[in-house]
Amino acid sequence: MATTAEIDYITIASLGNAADFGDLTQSARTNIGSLSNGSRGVYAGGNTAGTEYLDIHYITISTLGNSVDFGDLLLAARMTYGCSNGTRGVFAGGYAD
Amino acid sequence: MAHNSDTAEYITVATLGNSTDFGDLVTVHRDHGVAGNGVRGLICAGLNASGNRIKNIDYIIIASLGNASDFGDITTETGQCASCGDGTKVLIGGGSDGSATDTIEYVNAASTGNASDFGNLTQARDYFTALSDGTKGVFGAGTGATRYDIIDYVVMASLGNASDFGNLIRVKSEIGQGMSGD
Repeated sequence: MATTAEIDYITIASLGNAADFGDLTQSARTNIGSLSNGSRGVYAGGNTAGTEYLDIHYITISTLGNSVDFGDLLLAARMTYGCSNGTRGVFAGGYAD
Repeated sequence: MAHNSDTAEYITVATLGNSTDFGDLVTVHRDHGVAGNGVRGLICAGLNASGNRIKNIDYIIIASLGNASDFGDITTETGQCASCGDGTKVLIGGGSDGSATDTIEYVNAASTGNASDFGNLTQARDYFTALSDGTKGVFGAGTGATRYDIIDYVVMASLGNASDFGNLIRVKSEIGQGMSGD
């Protein structure tokens, strides 16, 4: 099974299938963390076989398109899952080989 | 060298830049779920530093840097689960307790305590994702008897089983975490 860089989206209020939003520009990866402040969606970390990543990218949720560089995590890791209060986003936990 | 993270780091979502140390979790969580109510962030279950499944939930106050505190437990040690929140409840769904499960449990994020039964997914699975718009909780992808492209949902305000939402573009697993603009 191939690792993909795809970002899918749904309209939560309307049942139906997902559609293409864009791509993660940093690279295809799995186990990526994310959070949102309602307008910006932020992705962090993730991995492919044997490699964890520390880059953080973002999308503008209302506009289809590819992700753009945001910054870096402190350490490369997969499963750095996130939450937000609308201002601050926190990525917690994770793992690196 | 393997690194199991018991740490949290933060960004200011509106401002591009690197992350900064937030504090430490009560314990290592990986293959876990994270969700919040906009005030608290809950770090739910997963695997510990030894790779063993755990059932504990930690929480942080997102606005205040510092270490996590103990929130309570889900019913069974579970890894590869997915979590979402509606501002009141945080759901912890699916995952593996040795095999893929279809259970959904919930906690009230503003209090502390152990999780209670919410309902069941349409399909037992792990390595999947969850998100919410505050009304629906949506679960997508994952692995169980096979890899799935299914999306199912619950109504966050009403305990009950998940219903079919639709399908992803393709079958996916280890999809990472979902997010919502709502």
